[in-house]
Amino acid sequence: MNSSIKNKNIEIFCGTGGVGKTTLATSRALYLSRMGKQVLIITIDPSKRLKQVLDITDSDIGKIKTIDSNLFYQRKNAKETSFDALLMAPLETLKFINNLNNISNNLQNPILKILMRPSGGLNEIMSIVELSRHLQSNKYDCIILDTPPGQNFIDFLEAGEKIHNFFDKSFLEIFKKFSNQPGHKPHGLFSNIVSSGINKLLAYLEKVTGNIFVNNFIDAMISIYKAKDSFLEALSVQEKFKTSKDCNWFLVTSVEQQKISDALLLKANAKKYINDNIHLLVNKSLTPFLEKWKLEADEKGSLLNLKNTLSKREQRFKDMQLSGFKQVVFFPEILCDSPQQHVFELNKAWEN
Amino acid sequence: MKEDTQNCLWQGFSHSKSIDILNRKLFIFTGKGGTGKTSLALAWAKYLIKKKRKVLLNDVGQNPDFELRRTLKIPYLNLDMNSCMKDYMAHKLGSVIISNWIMDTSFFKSLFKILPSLSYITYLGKIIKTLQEDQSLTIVIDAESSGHALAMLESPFNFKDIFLSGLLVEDLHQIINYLSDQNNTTIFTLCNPSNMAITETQELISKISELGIPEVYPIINNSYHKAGINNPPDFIKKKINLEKKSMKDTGFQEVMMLPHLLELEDINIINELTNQLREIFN
Repeated sequence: MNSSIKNKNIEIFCGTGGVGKTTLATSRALYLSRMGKQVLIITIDPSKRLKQVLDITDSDIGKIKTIDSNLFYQRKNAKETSFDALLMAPLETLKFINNLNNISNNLQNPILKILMRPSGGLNEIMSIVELSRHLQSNKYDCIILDTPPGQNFIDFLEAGEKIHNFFDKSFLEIFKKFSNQPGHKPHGLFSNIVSSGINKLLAYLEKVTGNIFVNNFIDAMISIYKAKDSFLEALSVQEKFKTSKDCNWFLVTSVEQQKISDALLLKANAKKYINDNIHLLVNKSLTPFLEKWKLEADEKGSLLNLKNTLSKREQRFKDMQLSGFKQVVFFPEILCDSPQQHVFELNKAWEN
Repeated sequence: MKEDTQNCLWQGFSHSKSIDILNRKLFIFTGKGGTGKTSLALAWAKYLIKKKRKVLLNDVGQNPDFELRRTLKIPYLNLDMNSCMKDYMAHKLGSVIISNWIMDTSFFKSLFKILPSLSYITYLGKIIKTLQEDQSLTIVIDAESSGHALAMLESPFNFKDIFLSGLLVEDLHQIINYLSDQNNTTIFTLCNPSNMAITETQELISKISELGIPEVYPIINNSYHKAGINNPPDFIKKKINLEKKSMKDTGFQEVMMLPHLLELEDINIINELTNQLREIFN
């Protein structure tokens, strides 16, 4: 049944936190690579644990790493395939953009450093730059994107608007004023602002934050502005999110968490940015175990309560078939402690 | 059943330590997504209210269920990031009119959007100021999940070297001092009893500690082992064994644990959690 989910150029996994997005996305990458596809998986919010699962060291972060499918098999005689993985490190993406635009010497800027930290504010935008860059390389049949949870997923979708506004109006006066001055020094910039309308705003800002902040901020904004073309070009990829020809959406939930209204809210909030080709993936389903579990006919106590409660939790998700999803797919809870084995077992669930 | 609740006790903590923790002014709940942060924050607030404490609840970046809070009678501190920043600027510049004007310009809107750390700083500043103005008050924050909560907590520390002058610098140190003072602030990080979740929580705790915030405690939630199910079916037995193995493998054994609750409705979960907290802290 699930094999009817045809792979697309872009496949995006989203959902609330802790539902197993990353593991499911990785299992999809393994499954598609076994089907002979060239696959890249990009994780925006990589945890330390994911590095362990994929056997990726800190120095590999921000770079493409080839993952051998044997990592997930218990037996070594299986047919060998591989897929590529990129754990996002915004700083590496910034270096790439700097190279492309001949920008140097901004990596010490403290504001840019903060922006490049995990959850620092530019991660989502940088991931779209990476997506666009690897789509253009035409190397992959499918790029899987594992997005951050909940509201941060909406931030990801709004990245385009954010960067457009940024270049359109907000800081334009700063850019006009400074970006053509060759070799400007960080300090003393502020005193150069004399007549522009922005000077009043910057004066208020300086009063509160001090001039070191204002100077560093102007420098950071100018260096981002110099890379304007790279950002704007990357944003064109967001148009593809809206067409079901190019993009599959997987909204992941978990029976364990019962966050049904959160999932529906996420779907509603994302509506204007994505297409209606949304599949609901229900993870950690206990249905296969509950079906096998036979209670004594006279069981009335706590075990009956346990079975009824767990069954009702499953039923709530089965009822969601009617909530406007293209398909609702259940993935069983995997009862083992090796994360590689989790990925392997879930990969099988994509095919039957 | 009595034995099971005994097992829930915060192992390694003396009674007086538990009482110390109860006397903190600011409680922040974070942890991995989907581990029950919101339910436990609400239960904690409710528990403190039952102990006759004056409590306000706030959340960062959530979609709060206001009806649930009304049902539970938990007073809410109405604070959104935007108003925090306007208030802050008004206070610093000595003019509400100027603050409203500049904060509505696209320049300032973009500034705060592009640098979320600035919003976090003014938010924390406002929370701490509220606490300092009313010494009888306790605030419980239902914070975002691990990475974003860390971004919030580290923002004042990251900016302290950039704001060397200006009106903000003193406030920044005040925020840092408040968070670093274990008589004021306690952070709880929640996780499920799985290998992956525990590793992530351990990583988060060490990063928060590195900032110099001393009082951070893990809580393992949703434990089937602690649910006290008699004669469970095989798949539940397997889950219980996996839980035990995860805790052993990660060396995460001496921490507070809360059971998986066989309830379907949020309100019942929160009430039951409140009972559990009473068992642990009374």
